[in-house]
Order: sequence, then structure tokens, then C-alpha cells
Amino acid sequence: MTSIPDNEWTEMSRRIFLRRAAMTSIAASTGAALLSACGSSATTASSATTVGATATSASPSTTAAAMVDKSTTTVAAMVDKTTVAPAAMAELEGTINFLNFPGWVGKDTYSKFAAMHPKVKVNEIPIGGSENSDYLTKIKDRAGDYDLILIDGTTWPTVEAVKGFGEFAGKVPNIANVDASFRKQPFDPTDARWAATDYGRTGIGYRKDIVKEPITSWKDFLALAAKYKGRVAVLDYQRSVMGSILRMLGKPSSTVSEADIAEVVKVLKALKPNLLAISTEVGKQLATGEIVMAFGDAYDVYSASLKEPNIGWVDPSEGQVAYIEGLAVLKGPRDDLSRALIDFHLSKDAYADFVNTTGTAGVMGTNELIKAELLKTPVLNPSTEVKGRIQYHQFLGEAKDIWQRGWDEFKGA
Amino acid sequence: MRPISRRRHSAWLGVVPDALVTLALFVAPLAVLIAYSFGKQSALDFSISIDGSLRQYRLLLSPLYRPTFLRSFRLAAFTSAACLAVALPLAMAVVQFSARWRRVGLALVVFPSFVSFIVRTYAWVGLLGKGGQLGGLHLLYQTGGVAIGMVHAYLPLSFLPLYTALERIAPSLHEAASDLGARPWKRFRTITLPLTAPGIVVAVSLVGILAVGEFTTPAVLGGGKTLLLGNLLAAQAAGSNRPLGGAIATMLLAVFLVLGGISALLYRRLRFVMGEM
Repeated sequence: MTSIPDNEWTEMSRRIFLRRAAMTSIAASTGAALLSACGSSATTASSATTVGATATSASPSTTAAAMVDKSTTTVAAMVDKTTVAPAAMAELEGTINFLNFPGWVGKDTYSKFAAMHPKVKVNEIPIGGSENSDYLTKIKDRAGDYDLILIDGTTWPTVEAVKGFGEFAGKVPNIANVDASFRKQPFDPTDARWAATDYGRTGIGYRKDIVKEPITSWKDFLALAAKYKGRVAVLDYQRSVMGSILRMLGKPSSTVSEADIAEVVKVLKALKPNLLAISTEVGKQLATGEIVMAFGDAYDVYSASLKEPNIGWVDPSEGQVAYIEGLAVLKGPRDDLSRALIDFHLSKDAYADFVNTTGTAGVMGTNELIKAELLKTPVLNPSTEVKGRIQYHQFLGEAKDIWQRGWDEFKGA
Repeated sequence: MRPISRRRHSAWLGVVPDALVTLALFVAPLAVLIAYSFGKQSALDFSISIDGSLRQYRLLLSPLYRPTFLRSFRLAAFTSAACLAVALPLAMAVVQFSARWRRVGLALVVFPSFVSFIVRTYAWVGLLGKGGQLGGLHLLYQTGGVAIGMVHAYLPLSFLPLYTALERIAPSLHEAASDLGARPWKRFRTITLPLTAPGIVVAVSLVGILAVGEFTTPAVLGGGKTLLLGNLLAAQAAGSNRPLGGAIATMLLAVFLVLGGISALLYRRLRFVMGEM
């Protein structure tokens, strides 16, 4: 069991981001549009102010990024503290249509990127949820309209079949900042088309002041569920919940076996009478005391623990499942723009802004610009032993239907 | 004869734009939706192949989705009945008022509908949740909470046809019955109820038909546990399995048509009987 220490990190869960979808995307696109409309003189003036403010945080990776852009304006210096050539900057022009979780970026990501590339706008198109296939149909039906996507291995083959990915072609050198353990994933073994940005594992969040029994495993959770009937929840994410039960049963977390799924459904249906909710807000519900035990996402539970210190976290002994997300270019006429944004996002400065804003578990363990409390908490940065027991979600292929039917059976029971 | 023929010809031409719009915006999408329901979606690239198979309907009617079907129809029936039970006495009370106060009463019932449906539903989360005024009932994230939310949402829809029917009843009928010694219950049974019957049919079918496909209330107040056909349809249509989504939509459409047809027949029959009275 892990005690979550207090700190001053600002609470900001992805759920909150989802709620702010419209506001953020409008603000982002409007901000970029305004910057663009203001023209180069306005941009230069605003960047000059920032240069002084950020002059002490140069890093080799951001230098590399700037070298690729070959710009020499003050604007670029503000972001990457490197002198880059204006001629190359002028080459990038257009709008990047970015499929992303609403606001799942650093608070200054778009404004700094717009300052660096005044003629490039970012139009963020919200993805409803990692398990909502809506965006896949969007890509399929409007293939030419999207340029950049936040994606994980579960949907990679689909998007590849529907649209295809653009190569990084050496224009994302900041990918070197990503820890080796998050690179060379099975679906992109040469790091040519995908760059990891964040990951999150499913574990157990609970109220230490109410649940006094030791919890070390998924089995403990299920055994205690009846005692805390009506104050227990699981996530409303099929892969997280069914995958966790599969780990408990000792099965592969991305199984394609109908028999395995039938076992999972049996366990979940037995658990259901004890549940208050199948929820996307377990962190908030733990904090209010509405529930005392839940399958939760690490970042969400950590975020809630800042509000309610009695929230604890367990990395179950049977092992866990996790998503690992990253950025990829959707093949098309604006590949260069997308590559520039990915590279910018992976610069140490911008990446730290992303992690510090969202509170996600990061993929750059050595980035000294990330707040220390986010780096040291075992909830977001687990031990090697815990990491070794994680299985990342994989593409299910035709077995997707078996999983969906199992999930429908559980929710409909 | 020629001028008449030309006029007829012109009349038909006038219908063409409307017909084209209806065809493009309603009939064609509906046809695609129904066609999808006889197909299969590829797990790899989401392409849909239509092969005329009934697999989606077989899946939909399998024991897997039976609890969802039953829950949807049970809740719809309960919502219709509960709305009728609340709206009928309310409408009867309002029609007793003077013309001025009737307008006030009508506004009080209808006005909440002007507030966003989602906002009204989330208001129930506050009321039924922990620390809420009705939190002690422990109805949030339970089927009971969903039922309360649905009754609240559909009450104005039930009230309006009942009010309209009641308003048409001449007060002299009640006065005459009263003069002849009929007590209130008998007046209700022999005058109010039969003359309001067409309004009851409209109220029940309107609420019932919409409630079967309800999505928002169970999504917000059901805590993800109370799966109804509307939620199932939304999940499938969003991309999980569009052919299954098409099959659910087609079946719901068929149910609506049947219920609507029965309601229309009943309504006509009742109006006819009343006309003979």
C-alpha cells in the first residue's frame, strides 16, 4: 500500500480536462488565430518579454529541436533558448488539426508553439475517451481533415489501415528525451512514427481512514467489496477493468480468448451488486467519501489525494494494466507542421509544462523541469518491480467484439 | 381540361423541393441505418460490409441484451404511468382555476422545460447524492433514481395533452351531474375519465415512446450501472459496432411505429365513441 504525501501540486484530472473541452479548444484555436492575426511584430514583441523569463532553462534537447528548425528569431530563443533561422520558420504555415483529449497539453504549449511558428495554428479536436471509437470513425469518414493524433497501441492498427501514419523522417529529434523503456513499442519498433507522451496504470484507490483491512491485491479488493457494499466503484473503462480482472486471474491482459472473457464477466457480475457506480470520476468520489474503494487510474487517484490525504493507493500484487499514449502524424499534406508540434512537445521545457499541468505519469524520468513531487511520488512513478508487473493494452483485432459483448453483459446485468 | 391538368402539374412541381429535402435528410440516412443493421463491421478498419445477415438482430435478441431490453421497457412503462398519475390530478386542479391563474399554473408546469434537460438532470445528482436533500434515500446511481429523473423530465409532456383534453370538458356537464346527485368519484368516472381518454392515450404514448429510447437520464443518474437501450445504442453507434447500433435503432423505430399505430387507433376509436355520446 502506498501513502500519498501532501504537496502543493495543483489538482487537475483528465476528467476535469474533458469537462473543459469546448473552452480549451476554443481558447487554443482562438489564441493561435489571434497570435497569427496580430502578425509578426506583435509576436516578436510578446516573445521578447518571455525570453528573459526563461533564459535559465536551456537544455540539450531543446537546442537540438531548434537546430532542426534552423531559426534565429527571438521568438524561438524564448522557447528553446537557441538561436534559429527566420527563413526556415517562414516555411511552416497552416493549421494542424489535432485529435487530442481536450486540454491534454501544457498550459503554455499552444501559445509558445504559436510564438515559435506564427503562421501555424493548432485546431484541437476533442477525443471523447480512449475507449470511445468515435474518433476512429471520424478519421475514417473524413480522412483528409486530421493531421495529428494522440494514440495508443489499442487503436494503432485501425488508424494505420484507415489513414496511415507519416514518418518522423528525422524531424523529431526530441524523441531522444523519452526514456528508453517507453520507446520502440511493438507497433512502432524503430520509433519512426510514434513518440510516447504519457502512460497510466490501473490500481486500487481506497480510503485509509475507513478501510482498515490490508489491501495488497485485486483478490483483496473483491473479498472486501461485499463488506463495503454500495461504497465501491470500478472505472467505466472496459480495458482497464476487464484487463485488471484478467491480471488477477493470471491471464494475458489483452486476451483474445472467449473463455477468458467469460471468466472475467462472471467475476464482474458477482461484483456488480456491491457497486455504487461504474464511474469515470472515482478520484472525486473517493475524495468526497461517496465511495471507499475503487479501481482507479493512478493520476486521478493521486490528484484526489491532494484534496483528501486519507486516500491511499495500491499496486496489486497480481500485476496491473496500463495505457501508453503518444503522438503520431496522420499522413497528409501537413506532415511538417505536425512533426514540428511533436518535436516541440517533446522538448524538455514544453514537456515539463505538460506534466506539471496535467499531473500525468511522465515518460521523461530525468526531466529536471518537472515538479519534484510529481517525480518522487510512487503513485505516478512506481518502482521497477511494480513497472515489471505492468502489461500495456494491446490491439484486440476481431476479439474486440468479444470484449464489447462481455462489457455490455456486465453493465446490462 | 388542359388548364386543370397544368395546375395539377404545377402543384406536383411545388412538392418536389420538399420531397427532395425529405428524401436526402430523412429517408436516405434512415435507409443507410437500416442497411447497416444487416452488415458487419471490420475490427481493423471499421469498414462495414452489408451481406444481408441477421446476425445483429440475433445478437440483440440473445439473452445477453435481454436485461437491457426488459429494463428499458419496464422503466418506460413506469415513467408513463407515474407521469399520468402525477399529471392528471395536477391538470384537473389547474383547469379549476380562473383563466388568469390557469395561465400561471400552466407556466409553472411548463417553464422548467425551458431549462436545459442536462442541467435539470444534473440537479437531481445534487438532490439525490451524498449530502443532498434527498441523499438519505440512497437513490442516486440506482434504477429508482433514474426513474425519478425520467418522470421529472417527461412530466410536462404528459401534462399538456391532459390539460388540453380537460379544458375542453364543459363545466356544465359537471354541474348537471352534481345537480343530479353524482358524487365527485362518480363524476370523475363517468364524465372526466371518458372525455379525457384521448388525452390520456396521447400522454401515455408520447412519454412511453420517448422513454424507451432514453439516454441522458440513465447516463447521468444511473452511475453507469443502469444500461438502457438508448445508452447501448449510443455506445454502438459511436463506433464500437455500428451495424449493431443500426439494428437497435431499427428495432426501436419498429417499436415506436407499433406503439404509435396502436395509440392512433385507440385515439380515433375513443374520439368516435365520444362523438356518439
